[in-house]
Amino acid sequence: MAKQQRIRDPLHDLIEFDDSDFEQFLWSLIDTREFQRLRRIKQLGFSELVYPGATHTRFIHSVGVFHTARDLLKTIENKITDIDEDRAKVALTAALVHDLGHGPFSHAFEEATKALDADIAKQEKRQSIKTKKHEHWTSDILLGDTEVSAKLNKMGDRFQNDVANLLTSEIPKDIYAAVVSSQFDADRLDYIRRDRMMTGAQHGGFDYSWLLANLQISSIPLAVDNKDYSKVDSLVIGHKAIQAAESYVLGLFQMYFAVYFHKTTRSAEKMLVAILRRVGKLISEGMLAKTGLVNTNPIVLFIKKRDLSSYVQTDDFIIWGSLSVLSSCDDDILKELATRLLKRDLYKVIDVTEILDGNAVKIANFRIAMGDAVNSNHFEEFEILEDHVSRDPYKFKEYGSSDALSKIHVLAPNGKDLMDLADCSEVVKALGKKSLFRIYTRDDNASKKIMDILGGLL
Amino acid sequence: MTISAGSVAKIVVLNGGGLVGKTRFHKTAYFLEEFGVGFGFSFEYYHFGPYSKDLSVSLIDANALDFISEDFERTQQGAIYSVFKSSIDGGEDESDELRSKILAKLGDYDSVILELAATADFLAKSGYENNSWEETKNRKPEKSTDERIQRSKELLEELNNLH
Repeated sequence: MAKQQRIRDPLHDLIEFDDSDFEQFLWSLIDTREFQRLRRIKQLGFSELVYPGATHTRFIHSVGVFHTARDLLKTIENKITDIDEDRAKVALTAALVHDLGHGPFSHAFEEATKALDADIAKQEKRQSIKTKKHEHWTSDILLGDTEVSAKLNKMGDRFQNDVANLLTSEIPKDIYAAVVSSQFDADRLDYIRRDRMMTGAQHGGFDYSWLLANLQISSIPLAVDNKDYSKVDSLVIGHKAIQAAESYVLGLFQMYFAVYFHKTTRSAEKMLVAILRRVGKLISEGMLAKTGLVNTNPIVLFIKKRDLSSYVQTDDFIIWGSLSVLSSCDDDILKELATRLLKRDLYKVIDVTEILDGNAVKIANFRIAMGDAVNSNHFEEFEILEDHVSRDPYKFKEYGSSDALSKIHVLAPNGKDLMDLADCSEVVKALGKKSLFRIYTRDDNASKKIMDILGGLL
Repeated sequence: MTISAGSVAKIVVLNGGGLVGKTRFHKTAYFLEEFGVGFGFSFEYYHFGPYSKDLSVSLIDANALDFISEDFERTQQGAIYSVFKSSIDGGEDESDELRSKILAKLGDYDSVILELAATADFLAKSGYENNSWEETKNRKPEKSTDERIQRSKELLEELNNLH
């Protein structure tokens, strides 16, 4: 007999799955091997090196996204009369499983895979193979030979494909898809609040209840460059929530620089990328033994095979366990990197943007000088690690900006016209893109080389 | 990572001194790489098909160094897009002839077609060898009308014939 299930969550308190067939089905997805793997992938990767409380996992975030999606759907149900129950179920399921394709340390693992592909292509003097991103690993997990795929298939082929397509489709095609992908999607509404709570950072606050209470549905025009091509229903806000939307935009922006792009976190991520690149290089040169890792290690399997089976075996625990092995291996570069990462003895940052006062011309000239230095082998392998990050708080002029995902639409008091938040808010209008160029150095000698190049520009 | 302000300026110059839209810029640079006459930019799959972080940073630097200018205009429905211009002398090399042919061919198609064609090409090289068009339609259902898919296939064929 079906019974109600409950999860206690620090953000949402009780998250309940009722005894209906559908919510029991969702609960059964949580019991799969692939979903349980998310317990072993931290939401914020190395952020716990800076914010020790940030040890929450993609498991609880995923459950929270489901809970938030259910709230959003209730809001939608109050606004429209012809509810499409099937699409609502697809959206709720997609919300729950949306993060299944994350690799260990999430973005760091993705960056490492991409760098490794580029390294191998360069070595073999051919074009780089195209690296798969986590969204598409999610799709592979939902449709491939996995436990979660088998459970989804019990709901029918069409349902299974619809869930996968909703997550890989780049533009949310209807209001149900907007629950999973839009400016106010369940993912973002959960992670901003959860990451803020778990890091302890006090930035990033916004009026969640007021924002939700003022969500509306409207038709948004879509364009690519100078070509208008379609319209789509999405979530917009009523004009009474302009201040809440301002806080939301600012809050997310602050979280990026206070948490996600924190120099210490990024240094650790870059070191992990270097480690995985080095392991990949040794494997490609037939020197796996030097790494100390065995053939059946999931990282080794994934580097060699790049298949779904090896991908779903990787997680944060595997990485940490492998670092212990690598810290006593026969390769000096790997040994040093792994030992330092385990001890939190990280590469030190040189904030180029700060030193050059954010002067775009000087930064551009520094990048040219760095390119010349790298090309003339001025630096040893992994002596320095470059980091380019940027965030536009409001992407009204960014790449792909003309699509519904990129800006916040405000419904005018007449209930018909749509306004761009940037045109309603002087605060949002004044916000500009922030970019950082940082270099992490192995030791004092590497720092001196960088400072010498910078000295020529000061 | 390949960051080159001079290279992005050269693309604009070879395109007749102007280029409309960031999507067009990324897809153009992508096709130049794929046809062996690129500038070393690496591409990954982003929200709208192949995207290069190197290229984005190069555009910032090219702007700062006045190698290119970037202005913003609006579509009829109000969406903002970029217009790039450049008149610097980027020098000539043996690849320029094919580059110019590719750019001229891309100029015959709008940015939606470029996005669809570049996406299908990218997917065909990243695990979707046998169903790249089907996967393109899955990822971009609202853009993938039969007519646009047909035009995108024509573009890829014409580009291959240039090679």
